[in-house]
Amino acid sequence: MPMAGALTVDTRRDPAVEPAAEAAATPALAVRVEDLSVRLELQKERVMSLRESAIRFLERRPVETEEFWPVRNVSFDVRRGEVFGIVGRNGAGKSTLLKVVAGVVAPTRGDVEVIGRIAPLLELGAGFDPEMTGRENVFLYGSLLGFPRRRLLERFDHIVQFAELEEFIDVPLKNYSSGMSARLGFAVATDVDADLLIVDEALTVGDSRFQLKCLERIEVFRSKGMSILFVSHSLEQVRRLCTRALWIEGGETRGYGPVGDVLDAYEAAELDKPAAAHVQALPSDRPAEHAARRLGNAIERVQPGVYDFIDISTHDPNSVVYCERRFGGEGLGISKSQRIVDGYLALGFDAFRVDPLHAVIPESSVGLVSIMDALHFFQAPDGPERIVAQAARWARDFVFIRIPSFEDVDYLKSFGLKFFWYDWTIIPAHLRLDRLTESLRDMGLADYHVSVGKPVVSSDVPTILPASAPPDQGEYSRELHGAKPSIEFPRPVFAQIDLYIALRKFETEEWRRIVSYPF
Amino acid sequence: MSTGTYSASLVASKRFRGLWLYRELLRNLVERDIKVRYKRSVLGFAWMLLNPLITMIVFTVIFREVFKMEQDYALYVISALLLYNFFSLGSSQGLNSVVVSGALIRKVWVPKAIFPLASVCANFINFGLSLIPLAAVMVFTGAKATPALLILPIPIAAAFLFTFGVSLVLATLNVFYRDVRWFYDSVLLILFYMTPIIYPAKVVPEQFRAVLKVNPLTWLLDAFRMPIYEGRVPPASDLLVCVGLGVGMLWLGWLVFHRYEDRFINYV
Repeated sequence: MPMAGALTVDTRRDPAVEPAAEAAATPALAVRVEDLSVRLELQKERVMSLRESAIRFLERRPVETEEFWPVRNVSFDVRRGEVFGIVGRNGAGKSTLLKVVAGVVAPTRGDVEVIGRIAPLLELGAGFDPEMTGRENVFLYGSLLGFPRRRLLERFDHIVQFAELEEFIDVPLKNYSSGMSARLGFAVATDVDADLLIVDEALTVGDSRFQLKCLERIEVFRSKGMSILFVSHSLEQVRRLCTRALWIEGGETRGYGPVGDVLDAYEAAELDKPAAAHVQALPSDRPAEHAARRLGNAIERVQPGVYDFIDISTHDPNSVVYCERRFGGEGLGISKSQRIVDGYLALGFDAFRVDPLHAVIPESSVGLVSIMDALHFFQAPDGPERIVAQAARWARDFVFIRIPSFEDVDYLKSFGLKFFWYDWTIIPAHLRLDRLTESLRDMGLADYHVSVGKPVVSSDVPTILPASAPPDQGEYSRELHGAKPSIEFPRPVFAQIDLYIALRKFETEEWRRIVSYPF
Repeated sequence: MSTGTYSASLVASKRFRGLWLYRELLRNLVERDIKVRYKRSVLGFAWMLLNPLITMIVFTVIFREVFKMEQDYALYVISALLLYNFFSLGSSQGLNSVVVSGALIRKVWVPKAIFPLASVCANFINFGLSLIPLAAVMVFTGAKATPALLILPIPIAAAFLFTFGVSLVLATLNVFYRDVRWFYDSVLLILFYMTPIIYPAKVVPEQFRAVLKVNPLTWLLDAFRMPIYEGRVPPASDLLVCVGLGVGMLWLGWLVFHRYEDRFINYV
């Protein structure tokens, strides 16, 4: 099997169409994109029910889909052995462009030609199964990328060595920290003879030492004559690694050519930002020059002093009230969910609907960022860590995190009891306190304080339910959940854990005041 | 503006070779499916044999001792039930397979038909293993092993193709309408009673026989059961119908699936 299992594209084109002379004159290409446009269907409601579409059909009403063109008339090519950068703001169409090159999204109009094998590195570890061991996942992930088993067997030791996971390779992946999964993903995806490596923001995971190792490997790739398509927010990285670049905005080409020229133009435009078309106005009586505004994923002009804290919520906007009472100051709520945003607004706070994972907010915009009972809802393998990293960027003083205490879940289970929130979500294993703090240290956020909430000494509290209670319950009620064994716990249990991450030096007394709130 | 050569020539060629090129992934998906299913169970893979065996013992005892049916009536039910279970589990898991792999589909290109195929294959392996306890039941009930058994690969292969074809259609529908999953549960229940599995076709009143005949499962199950239960080779015409059903259903499923495959990304 000469090229078993990879995206291999036959590029022999009809000689009548392309004269040999032209081929000789132009440098060898790895990717050729010509006049590409992509249309996506955006349904109003993502999933339509049979009943609804039956009604629409009977009423002869077409299905309401919004057309959206994330990429319009874009042309570029990537030469063999070149590192090619794509820059642009969030929502400019970079990811869609990469997905078309990777073959995930079909082009609507235009030509895309990829010459050779692709190793996509879209989101690290996307193909991993948490139940399986690191070893099994190497083969699963490798086969997802289309690598033959023989090749993986040959390279296995090298992959594990690069990921620095020799000791843990037979441990189920759910016990890995997100940094460990990211390392394994990168090691597999790059340890192959691909002709084109696609790197999408992937280098922002892992600690800085591992990032450096990844960058080194990219240099090796280039020196071996492979091509790399590189997307990053870090203009510095793009400038350092790439030879040529493409700048897109709103899906259209704004600049294309040598990396220096394109980035200079991009930076100049960024500094002199024109009033954008899709600005979401804040429903606030704040003077216009103060107010933040949203553009795509970016929240701009959050000037120091306008807001004192940002509250990230996934399920309950009341966290913003808690933070205001406890820490004081003016709060801004952000959430991916419109329901939560409406909740924030109803409570009298400013709020934006934006995915916190992808929100772009200037560094050190606020004093503190709070993430209450929300961290475990970011379920991507490295979701919680990415949120914490975001929060640590936005805040000057500290990050406040409250998570349900997963530590005592098994202990409660041994008494036939559970916390009322127990069935709400699948708890990512690495959100257990020891793993989370390990990740914090990985991220260079080693100055943190952990405090557990009020100890619970018996089962006679409303937050504890009998284990037999159905999922999705509120607090304990005898009518709903039946009798509950009344147990004095041999050791106290904790329902929640508060985590304070200091981002600057604090006086001992000042820090003590922050972390020792009376429960 | 030229039209996409990518979507036309490239993707078409990938489609044909895709499943073969990605056979390694297929193997890993099937392996994962089976491994995860029996994880943390003490007996592990032994359940693949034990489960059907226990079902068979229960059926044998009930039919012989409780209903005082014919000696080998248990065999009649069990043989059909095994194939029916393969079809119902394979197709209902295949139905879900694309949607649950949404995170992957959004990130890496793989031939998407591989997900339903993996579900069907995992259940096919289960089915294959359950033939071992079936043989034990044959011995126990005194059924004769005849050369007619050699014909079994034909109805089995037809059932495999048929199940895969149905999975492709259902998986496609489920991407656009998530109700399909719940609807299909009811369809399966109706199908179970519309197919002569636990009752012989001859107890069905004449006017309803036609209903059984238009049910593809009746043909597949009968062709599978006849060599085991009666020790006879099914008529060539019946076998031909089975093969036709398998190939036809797969062809239909393949067409439907690939007609809409490129749009999945907007909906998963």
